[in-house]
Amino acid sequence: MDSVLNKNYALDTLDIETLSTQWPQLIYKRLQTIGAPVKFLEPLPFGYGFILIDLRTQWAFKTLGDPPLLLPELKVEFKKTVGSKMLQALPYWVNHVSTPGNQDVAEAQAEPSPVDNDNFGVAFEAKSVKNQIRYNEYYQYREVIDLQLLYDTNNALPSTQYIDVVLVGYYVPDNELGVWGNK
Amino acid sequence: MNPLQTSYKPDLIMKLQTRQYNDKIVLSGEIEAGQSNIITADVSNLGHFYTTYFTGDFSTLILDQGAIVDDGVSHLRGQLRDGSNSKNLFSDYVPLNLIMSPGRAKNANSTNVLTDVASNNLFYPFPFFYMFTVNSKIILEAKNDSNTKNYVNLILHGVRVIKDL
Repeated sequence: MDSVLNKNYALDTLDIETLSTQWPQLIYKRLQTIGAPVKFLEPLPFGYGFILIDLRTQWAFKTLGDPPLLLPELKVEFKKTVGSKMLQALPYWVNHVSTPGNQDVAEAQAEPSPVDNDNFGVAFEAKSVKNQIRYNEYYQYREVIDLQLLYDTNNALPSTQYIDVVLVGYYVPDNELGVWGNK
Repeated sequence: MNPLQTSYKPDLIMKLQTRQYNDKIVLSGEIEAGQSNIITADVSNLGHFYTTYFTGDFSTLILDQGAIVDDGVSHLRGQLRDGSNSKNLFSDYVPLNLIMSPGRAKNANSTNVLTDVASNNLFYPFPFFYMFTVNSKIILEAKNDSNTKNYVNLILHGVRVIKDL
């Protein structure tokens, strides 16, 4: 995997067979919380492993009707179901793994609030959220990507909050499995 | 790769570049208020297209008291697909501000375009390694939650790989 990603792709001959195996996947969820820990669980499909490259999040700093400054802290905690190991000593702040981006929500609009019909919830400002830290953590097929988000405030419990999470990674077919026709 | 520590061999490079060379595929479109739109680009029959990065910008327009203004809210979500096998490259429609750089861009359709704030976003191309096969179609389906039309531009940067005949 790493050798593929680091190829000098303009000057080295590309190997189509190798490049065709793994493919990118952005796993996105919008989570809802009222201050309690919220789980992000993504079971992997049979036949594919997943290499997690980086994590991007955005979350609400305040919502309409709440006290103006709740000063929320959003922490993340990764747990590996295989081996029951944690990938950190303590939950840590997500702005240590991705550029602090949007921590705000739209103010009231004169027109109807710009949300879609699927209860998408809240409109975030269009500030970009950039990845910084590489995880390069490999999850085996049928494993569950398990991370817990802790949303703490220093002042008061917020009303319903929304957290956007994107896991950026690549599906890696497990070529040894019978599902691919190998023995 | 450090260009100063690389010994280039022009003969080899020229030979190689007859079979693979720098290329970009552009997807650009507009999405009506409250609608979704499928924006497509053809990989063409030149060869496979190996994308390594994508960059994108989008508008953040909304209709406010009869005037189209730029409110800086991310109204667009997108799903990228490989049309050759309908493979979803995103698990769901991802808000574009989470993945696109330079991101929010001024739009001439805003009635306040001269006074709209600049996006002030740093430029971070999104690393995205994927081989789109020859003759396939790249599909960006975008949804617009705003009450007015919004626009998106996406460039896939990569390498064209000439297929074996």
